[in-house]
Amino acid sequence: MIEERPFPFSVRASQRIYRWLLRAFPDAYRREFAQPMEQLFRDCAADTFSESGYLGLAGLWWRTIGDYLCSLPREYGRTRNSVATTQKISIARLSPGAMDTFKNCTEGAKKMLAQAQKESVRLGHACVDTEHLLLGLLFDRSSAATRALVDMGLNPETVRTAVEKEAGTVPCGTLPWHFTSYSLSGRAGKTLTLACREAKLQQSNLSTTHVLLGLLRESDGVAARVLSEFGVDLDRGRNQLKLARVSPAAHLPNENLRFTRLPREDLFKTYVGHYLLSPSYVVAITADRDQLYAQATNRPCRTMKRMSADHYAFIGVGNEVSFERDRAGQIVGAMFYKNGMIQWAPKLAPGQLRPEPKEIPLTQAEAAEYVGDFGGPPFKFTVMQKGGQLAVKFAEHEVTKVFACAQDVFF
Amino acid sequence: MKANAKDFPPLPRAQMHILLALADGERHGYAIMREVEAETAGRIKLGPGTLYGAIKTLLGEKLIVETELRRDPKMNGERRRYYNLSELGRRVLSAELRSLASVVALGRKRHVMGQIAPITP
Repeated sequence: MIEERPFPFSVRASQRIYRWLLRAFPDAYRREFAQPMEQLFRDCAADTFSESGYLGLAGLWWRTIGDYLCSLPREYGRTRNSVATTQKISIARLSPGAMDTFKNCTEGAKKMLAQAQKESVRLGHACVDTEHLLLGLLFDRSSAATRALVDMGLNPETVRTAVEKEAGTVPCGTLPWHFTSYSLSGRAGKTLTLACREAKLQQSNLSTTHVLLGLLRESDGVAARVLSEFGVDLDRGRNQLKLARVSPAAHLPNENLRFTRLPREDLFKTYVGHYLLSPSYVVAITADRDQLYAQATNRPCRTMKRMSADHYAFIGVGNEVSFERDRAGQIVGAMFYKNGMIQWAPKLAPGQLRPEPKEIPLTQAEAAEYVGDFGGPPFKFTVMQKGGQLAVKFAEHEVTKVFACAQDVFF
Repeated sequence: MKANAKDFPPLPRAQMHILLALADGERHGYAIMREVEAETAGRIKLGPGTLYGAIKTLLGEKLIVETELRRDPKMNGERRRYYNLSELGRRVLSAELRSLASVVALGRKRHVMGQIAPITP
């Protein structure tokens, strides 16, 4: 046993080297465990050295380096994947705006997410999907979301069984014992982003009720399918959750639903405007009597099809848009869904848009000077003349007419 | 928080051995390591990274608790952190061992245990 006597030089040297190696661990982990780890290593080194000398110490170093190289990436993985200490889900799939909201989630939501992750492990699934989020919600019987579902006549156990049947399980033991999944599926990412939007609209922290609304809005994951089998849809969920809230002061937003019950023509007028996806990419929503159109910068015009309240799809492309309202029912912006990505676009006030450039007439000869191929891969386009009108064709896009607005400048 | 032992996925080996080492009373990190090494006849040697990584996870899941910071009379005068099993940890460990026992029983029934050398500490 080690008495109060000083350690031999080799042990002290080993300790110093190990202390130096420990600096590579993440800060939070180091603050908590670097001191005991160093102490433990020193004790090991002292005992090994006194028992079997330099050879033993070399053996200890060999083992320790292996241990060090294994645990270092694990601790970094853990740090990257955890937003708070209680939940460990990777939020890489959330949009940047949603991430901020996500970091301020309530305790209930954190527990729900941690549980969702456990559920995905339990079922042997590779990542956290909507079904796990729903199972995570149902796990806590006292949460507002579960109570709302119960009030709508659902039995949590029945729903749980239905979800598990729908999602299927991978038999226990097919995954290695150390397997844990922290990543979100695309759908789950969309669900949580939608949940964050719900939370933002209410100016409250992300809670389980928002996640439930997110699940219902997401509309084609396993969770939404199962819930709709049990007769729960977004409209019903919203109405119910409004009742489930205890304090009337912290009210739920979308009684906004009543704003969508306007006659179609008036309803469409509320959407009309410009939505800013990026400074150079604006989606213009226009409407005639009974049809809604969207046109993005340099893209052809698309007609829109209603999917649910304030939720539309672009016909011909797999993209969708969901309009967001403030408490007064005014449209504040829209979420665009494209190839599994979600992007928030605020609605521009009428004055904010760059004024439409004014066309300068060109003579045929002047126009002909611009005809030809421009650019190189990946950005390439052809300028051509079509009936006295200049037109541009980008590689995979349709031909778009362009007009001169200044010397050598077109729009 | 998970209040039920059933809600836990199977315990990783390092974690299970740490829980086992703590089953008969509180211990500090080095004592856990020695205990695990002795109990498994040297088959499992937990390095500092593995040990404290697992301890961090177990603390996070509230399966173990940090009891106090004090001196070990058998070792030098430094203060060490002691850990102990929580009530939940005890339940999770026993559920885990029961499920392993059922696997072992199945192995016996299928007469494949004979090919495995008995492990005695």
